[in-house]
Amino acid sequence: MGRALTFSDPRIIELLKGRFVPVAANISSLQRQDDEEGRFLRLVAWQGRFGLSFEEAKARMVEPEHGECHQGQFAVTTEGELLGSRHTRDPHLLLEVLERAVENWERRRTQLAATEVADVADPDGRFAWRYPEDGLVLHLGCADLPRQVDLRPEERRGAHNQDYVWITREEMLSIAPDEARAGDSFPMHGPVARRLIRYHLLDSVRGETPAWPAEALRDTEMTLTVIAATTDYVDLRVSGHAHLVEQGEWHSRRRNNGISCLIQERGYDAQLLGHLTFDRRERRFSRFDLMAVGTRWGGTTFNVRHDDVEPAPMGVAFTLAGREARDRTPPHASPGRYFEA
Amino acid sequence: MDRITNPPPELNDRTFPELFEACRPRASQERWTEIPWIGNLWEGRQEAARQMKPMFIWAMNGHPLGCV
Repeated sequence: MGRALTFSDPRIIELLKGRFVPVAANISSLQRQDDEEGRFLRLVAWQGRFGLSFEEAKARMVEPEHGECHQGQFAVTTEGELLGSRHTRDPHLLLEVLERAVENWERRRTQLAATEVADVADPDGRFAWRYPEDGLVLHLGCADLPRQVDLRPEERRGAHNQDYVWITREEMLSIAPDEARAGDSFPMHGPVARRLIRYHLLDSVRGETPAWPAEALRDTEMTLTVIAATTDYVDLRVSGHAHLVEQGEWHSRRRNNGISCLIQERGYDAQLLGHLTFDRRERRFSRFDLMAVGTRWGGTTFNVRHDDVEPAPMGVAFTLAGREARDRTPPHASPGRYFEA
Repeated sequence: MDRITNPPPELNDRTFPELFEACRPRASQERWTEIPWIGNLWEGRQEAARQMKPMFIWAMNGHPLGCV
């Protein structure tokens, strides 16, 4: 994974911990956000990625629909004065940027005193996520599983990725209803099942990929069976399957030779199994271990499967998210559509 | 789907622990998580202003701390 490659150098870790406030931002909506936060990102990126002057960037930051990608790594003052930038996965190049930014910080023209920055005055509601404080948050991992015939280059074999799942309190309580008794069997609450399948049974092992459209769900089932139930807890078993297929046209560019590869189908045919425990006194899950194991094939524009489109085994595992700040990261989705799945 | 040379392993109660372990999130084992990332640009700007430090912004399509 790129982040592990780029941010594992101890000199980078120490610099970021000691000399900077490190911020990780998803720009896919932020770069189009029509509010102060979106404008601040654009102010930074127009300078750092596109070489505009501070004044030119300030003039352009007001345009939310600019059609450019604002990815990159930027060192800036809180007023948006650029101290260094690069768009790289190479830790050596990043280290140079950070060291130069530390030097430039000593010569900065802005942020000369500590101050308070107010909350965003009028946030663009189209892209607002609200962490489900009293709901259920899962952390998922996905990885390729061992193959009998494995033609992948060695460096591809350890790829894995992650994401987060957000479930509201009302939805969470529907998974373990108060009246559930041992032996009961019932389908997973529809919106939860569809969200898990459409947004999270994805081949993101090597890179991000879009959610499944509704019509890709050819045959799906997610059933809960109550294994044991007392006044204190309820144990549930999840079983089911998901057969997902989508036809389309995805152009995936091979990095080394620049040749574009056309992929016309992607799919995942998986079995589901899970073990859950709901604490009836605390009104929360104390265990939520769920997984999908099956065959994936094809790829999409950004999930880097251009050399690996043949059917092969892949797994997705969900478990309760931790309590670190990073565990509040929103799911890889658009907030409006995600909760309407 | 008729060309499968790599069938998936069977998922059942016996195989579940090993398969789960193979796929579960691994972020906490990776060094990038030692960095105290703030996952929201504006909150990061507020914190940097308070601390009088520069910001380092890692901006990606997809959240850098999530699915990328």
